[in-house]
Amino acid sequence: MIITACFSMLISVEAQSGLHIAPLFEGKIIPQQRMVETRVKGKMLSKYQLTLFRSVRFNANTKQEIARVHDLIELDKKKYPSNIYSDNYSSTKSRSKETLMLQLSKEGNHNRFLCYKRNNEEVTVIYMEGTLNSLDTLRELIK
Amino acid sequence: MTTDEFKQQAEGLRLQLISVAQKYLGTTDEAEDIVQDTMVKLWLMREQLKSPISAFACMVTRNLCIDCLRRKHPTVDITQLSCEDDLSDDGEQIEQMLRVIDTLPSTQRTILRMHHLQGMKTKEIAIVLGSTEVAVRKTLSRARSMVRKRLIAIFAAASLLIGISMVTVHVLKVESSDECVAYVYGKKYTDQQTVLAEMKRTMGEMTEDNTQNEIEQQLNDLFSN
Repeated sequence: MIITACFSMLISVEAQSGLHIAPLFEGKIIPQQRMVETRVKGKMLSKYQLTLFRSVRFNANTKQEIARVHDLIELDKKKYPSNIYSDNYSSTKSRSKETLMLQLSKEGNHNRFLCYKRNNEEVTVIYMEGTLNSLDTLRELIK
Repeated sequence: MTTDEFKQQAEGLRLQLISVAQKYLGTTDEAEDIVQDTMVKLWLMREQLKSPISAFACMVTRNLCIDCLRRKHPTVDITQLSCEDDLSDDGEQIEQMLRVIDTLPSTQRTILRMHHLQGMKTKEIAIVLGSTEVAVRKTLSRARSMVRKRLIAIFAAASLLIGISMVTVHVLKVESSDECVAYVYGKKYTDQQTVLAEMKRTMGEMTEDNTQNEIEQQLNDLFSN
């Protein structure tokens, strides 16, 4: 019984769990058929000083979908208010374009990042983990 | 004990000793060999023996069985071991049980051994110990219950340990494993090039300089109000 419990706990634990936005990565907010989802983990990411990369991109059908994702991001922003990189973003007023990049609290030795971008109806959310120190470094590495 | 007396008692003892040996070694030829060895030992020391010899003979058989199990020290490739193998390993279980019995209070230990290992009846034990049959039965019951509880605790601890090891191995495996997958509107892509291109595109989009966009945005917001 204990072993089963351990395994079920293990299965349910995902890297981004604990975040309010986690259900979006699990396909609970937008169905998988409407999203472009990326999951990369391991050595392939060493170039970017990352160990885990997860992203979802989708076109929102309704304003409610945008509002829901925005609200979840807002909750995570409130949870980790001290490490905001980019704030072309409004908590109260929904703009047509917005970007938010957050550095979350460390998990073990890994830094964690949550990025949100919306261009009208197109929404992109990224979760990253790794030894990467800042998103500025990532910007340099991508060039 | 005379030679005739020995022969007379040995005839009746044989089956009882085989039954004792089989508890340790199973229904194998080895059990019969052990009984044969017991008989030889008893025969060699027949002049010092006093009737009845059944309890002593059972003890000799038991010791020879344990010696035999210890000598064997079976070695099996660890990868071929399964939980079922562990449970069906009678020798190991008996050794474990004997270790548990050794931890019991002396009266319980003695009565349990006399009854289960030497095959004595409760009435006989009561006579030997100068106690009543009821008292022997009660002590026996308590001893069995304690052995059962301790064995359950040992097996539970072992299971927990195995479980923790399995979970640890699984976690290490999961953590060290690589993953590279993209789902494009429900369609799965595992081609590394495609996935990494999508990843780079998303990352680039996110980290691109937004200064121009911000100005446009602010202008749009200003005029839309």
